Amino acid sequence: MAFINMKKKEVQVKIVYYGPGRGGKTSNLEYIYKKFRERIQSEMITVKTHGDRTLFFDFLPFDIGKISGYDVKIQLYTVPGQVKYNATRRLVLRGVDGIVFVADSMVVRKDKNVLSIKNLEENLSDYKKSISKIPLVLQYNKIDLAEQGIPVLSFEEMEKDLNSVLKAPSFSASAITGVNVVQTMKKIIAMTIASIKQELK
Amino acid sequence: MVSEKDSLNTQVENRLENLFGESETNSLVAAEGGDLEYYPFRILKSIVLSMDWEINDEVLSKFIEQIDGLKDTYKEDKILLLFLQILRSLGIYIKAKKGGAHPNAFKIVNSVFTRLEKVVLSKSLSEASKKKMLFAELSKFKELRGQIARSDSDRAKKKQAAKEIVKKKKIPEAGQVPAMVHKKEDVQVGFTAPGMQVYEGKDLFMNAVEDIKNLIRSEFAVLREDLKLLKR
Repeated sequence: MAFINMKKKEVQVKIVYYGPGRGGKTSNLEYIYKKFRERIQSEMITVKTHGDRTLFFDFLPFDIGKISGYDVKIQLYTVPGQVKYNATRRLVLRGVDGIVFVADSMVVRKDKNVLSIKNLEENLSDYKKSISKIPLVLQYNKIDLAEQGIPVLSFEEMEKDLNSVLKAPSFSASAITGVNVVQTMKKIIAMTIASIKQELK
Repeated sequence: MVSEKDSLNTQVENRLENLFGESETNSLVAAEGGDLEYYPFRILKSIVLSMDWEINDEVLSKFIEQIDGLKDTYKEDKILLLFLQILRSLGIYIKAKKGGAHPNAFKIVNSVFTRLEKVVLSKSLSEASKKKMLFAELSKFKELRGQIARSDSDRAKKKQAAKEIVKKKKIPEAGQVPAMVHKKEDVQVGFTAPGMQVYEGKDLFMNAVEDIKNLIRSEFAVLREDLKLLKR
């Protein structure tokens, strides 16, 4: 549940970008930060090591202004995708309100996507949350690679692998070129705020 | 009449539009001047992009195999050949060390490949710019080699110091001293004196490290020779 300060009329919304290692979670945040840094007027915090891989998490906070009289503060997080950092992933998921699952469209990463979404489901269940109930948007990243002749899975194949049961909103995207990066973020923010409002009733 | 839910949605959409609205640059950026129907580096790129920390023999073998194929294709282009040679050396090193490889090795693989692609795809790039890119990557590779050598030597010193301590502890056992003196070879090669066999594996490891260092040295010697040819 989001952190709500009734006195200050302030809501903090935590959105986590989850997915397999090297799938483009950090690239999503970097794109948003680079493109809108002057408007969001905040700093992106990132901890990297070992060949530019995310060690702990990336963090991008920004305010979107007043909605229904409440000041809404969005906090975007990423998790480290590498298998060995599951404890960190679980920790970052604590108090999550919405999730963007960033899958890698490359054919060679097919299995890793499936393992990662299962890992998400397990980690959410530790917090008594269900993957089918939490606001979730799927992003099939790296579609730009098809232009370079690299084998990528089609939108339909990605849907079949990851979204046949969940039926969550999904986007093909390219975090590097920015295709559907903002749309993905807008969708998850809208869904999450609606869900928080629903919970408050 | 507008429902409460619709009103909230509209408010959120308006706020997001104010903050993030703009005609997005959604066009996909195609590689500059690249021939996408036949791109010889396609598979290599796919392997580089898929390289992860869960690195395994299969991925690295494919990586080296691809490079060997490309070296054959581009045997007349010395600049490309040198780029490929750097990648190959890094591939062999990472394959030997896997997760224990120096973290910068992965960075340099990515950086060398990015420059290599630029050289391949940018038709407008002058020969001088290509050479400049190559030298920049070569210098990173050299630096990495130094870093690896330094960390290996530090590790070897630490191991040696640990061995010395163990030796001092074991020698006072009277019954074993003569055997160690008579089996001088054993002491030097494998520490096979009673109670000290445990170090055999570590010596093997040291030998393996030495082999890897020799391999990198020889790869680098080839690179230097190629570079000399290129400068002529």
